Amino acid sequence: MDAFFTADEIAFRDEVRAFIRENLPTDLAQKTRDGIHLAREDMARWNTILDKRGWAVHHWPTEYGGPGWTPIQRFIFEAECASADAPPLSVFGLYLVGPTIYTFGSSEQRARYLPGIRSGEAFWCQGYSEPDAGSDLAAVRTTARKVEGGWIIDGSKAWTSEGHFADLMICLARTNPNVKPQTGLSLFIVDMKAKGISLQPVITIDSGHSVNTTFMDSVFVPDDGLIGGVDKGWTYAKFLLSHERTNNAQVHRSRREFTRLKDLAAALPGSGGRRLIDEPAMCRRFTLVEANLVSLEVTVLRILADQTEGREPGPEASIVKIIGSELQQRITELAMEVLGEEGVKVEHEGDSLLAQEAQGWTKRHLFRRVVTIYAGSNEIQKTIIARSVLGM
Amino acid sequence: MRRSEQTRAEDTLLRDTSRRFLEDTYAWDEGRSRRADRADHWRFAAELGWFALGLPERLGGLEGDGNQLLSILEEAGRVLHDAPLLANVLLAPKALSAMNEAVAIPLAEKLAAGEIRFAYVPDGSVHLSRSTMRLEGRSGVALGAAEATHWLVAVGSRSVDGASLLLLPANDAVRRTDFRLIDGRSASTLHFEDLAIPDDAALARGETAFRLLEDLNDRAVIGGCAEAFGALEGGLGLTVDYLKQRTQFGAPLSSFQAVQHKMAESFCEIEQMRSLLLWGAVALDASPDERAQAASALKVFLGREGLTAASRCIQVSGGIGLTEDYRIGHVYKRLQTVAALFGSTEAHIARLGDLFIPSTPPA
Repeated sequence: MDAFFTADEIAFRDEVRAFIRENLPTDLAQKTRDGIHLAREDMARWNTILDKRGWAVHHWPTEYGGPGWTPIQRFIFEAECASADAPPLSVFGLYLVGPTIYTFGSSEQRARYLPGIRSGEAFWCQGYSEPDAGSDLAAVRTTARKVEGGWIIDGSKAWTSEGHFADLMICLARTNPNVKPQTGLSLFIVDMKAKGISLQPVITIDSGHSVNTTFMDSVFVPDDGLIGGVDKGWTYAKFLLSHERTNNAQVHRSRREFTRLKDLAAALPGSGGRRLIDEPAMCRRFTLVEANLVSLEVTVLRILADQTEGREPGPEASIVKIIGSELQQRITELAMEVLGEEGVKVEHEGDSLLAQEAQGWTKRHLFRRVVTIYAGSNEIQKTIIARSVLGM
Repeated sequence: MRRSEQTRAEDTLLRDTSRRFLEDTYAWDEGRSRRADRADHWRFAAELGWFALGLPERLGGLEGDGNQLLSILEEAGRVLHDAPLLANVLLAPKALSAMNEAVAIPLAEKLAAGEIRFAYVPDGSVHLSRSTMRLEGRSGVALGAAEATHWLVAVGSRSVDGASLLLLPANDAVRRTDFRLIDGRSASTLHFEDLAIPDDAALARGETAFRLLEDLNDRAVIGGCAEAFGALEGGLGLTVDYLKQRTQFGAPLSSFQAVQHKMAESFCEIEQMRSLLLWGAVALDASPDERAQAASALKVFLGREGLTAASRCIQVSGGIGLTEDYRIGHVYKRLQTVAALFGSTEAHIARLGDLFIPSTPPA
């Protein structure tokens, strides 16, 4: 799709590509290929390398350390990182907490928290969902009660991804029980080592541990841990969800995984002396995924091109979460077809290519069921489109 | 997609003018009385510059770009236009650009003025003997061939050696079977029975012709998909409006979540098709590989997701969606027709597969 990019952008791509080639440690690339839930140290190492080049917080404004790239440059950068198997950066710190703090936080909070996110030293987790507040976020029941010098937080948070190694949590809690559910919420910064916090691992269907349930029993948060105004949390949380919509599409990860899957199916034997990928039915399935992937790529590019030229994205921006997440699942569904029987084994014999690749794909396939559920389930997204775009 | 403010202003002007003209002269009406003033209609279209837009300046054209050309076809699709615009807006200008200028300039002038009309005659099983210059075989479905003054005939398109592109004056000596398509358009099959062809009728032969035929067919695919897209987008708007008015179980149909989600899904598909069309517009002038990928991806998407989106509109409309008097069924038929022309959905899946998955492993 080179026809979409300007000559300057192609030159920028070459610069990024060269930097990654020279600076991405091979063991990190290998770990990214093999795993699904990366260790904190691995994500931090890559974050630090990027930070030294000034590229870690590539979508932040320059005053907070961003490189001043256009949305299209960011797209190119992310595409290059993904295709080189660079580890993903921490979603919560870079995409969620950073923008929340520089948009709504105090200057003291910016000075205190942004550098750690930028360098990769500080890890954050998100405390929005609760056992009884999933898609219906307004039903949050965790409370924050005002006391001398701060707040006392009580309640529990569900699906705390990376909570077991996070330093800090951004936590949505109810500060006013006497108003409309949406208007009585506030955002707090909670130290994960504070007294009263305990975590229970939640093992997901891929047998992995990336999420937790977090219990907060009279956790004290000092006054400077409140972000922005009291009872404004819902507005802040919603602002962010609409802010980073294209990130939800995970278009670069999908492109990379699809390329790897294509390579795998080209390396595996099919019937009659053919490569597996040359079997007509298999080739057809790959082709159909390709057609959908390319339409997602162009859709994301079109939104970013609008932003680059100073136009707010139109209603098409609301579709990328839906089509991006469905596509992520289709890719690993196709992987299961490629793997065949090997894909359902927990233990694998020997060290054949299939045996080496199977476990990673199967785990990804299972865990990927999450993408149509999180960040506002696809059913919620469809209702939003019907109501706010189609006026139904 | 990446356009200056000035180009954007021009795009908007062109689209708005086209839409107004089409709605005034060609809006959907159940009586189909719009067919009466066809000659005038074509002349007005020429005055709006539709046929000059795709021609280069050296042929007296306006040298518009892919986005602008496709916007005309999209708007025509929105009102379910049934005249053969595609060949004259998108294909003939390309063929004329490839011709000897001395011959091309007078033809381009007449095309731009709306005085002549081209039809694209896709290959069926047409064979040209090089030694005797005689044409034999049967064409594919040629939209608007009966009304055209000139035929762009694709010959031997399956092999580099046998390929030729011919420009023939519409000719009573050629046996023609005329028929209607389900979307209301007129088309023909041409039967060439040992027809003698003058030497200068061949615009290109061999490899040049092979490439030009691929280009023309990709243009037909991309342009046809633009027409289908316009029809589909109009169809979704129509359907959503209807759902807001139609009351059942004491509430408007638009308030039911099952119905809302179906329309949201169609919206997602339509927006993706819009994206692919943006790619198609750029790809019209890109490398042959990129053009082929964009064309086939569009065609595959239209034949699968596009048709699904249109059939959902019929589903939620209920019984009225099945009636000949209501527009949504005609939208569906337009999409089904485009899906069948210029290579089937499965043929384009196979072609896309060849482009994306080369048959020998990369070294």
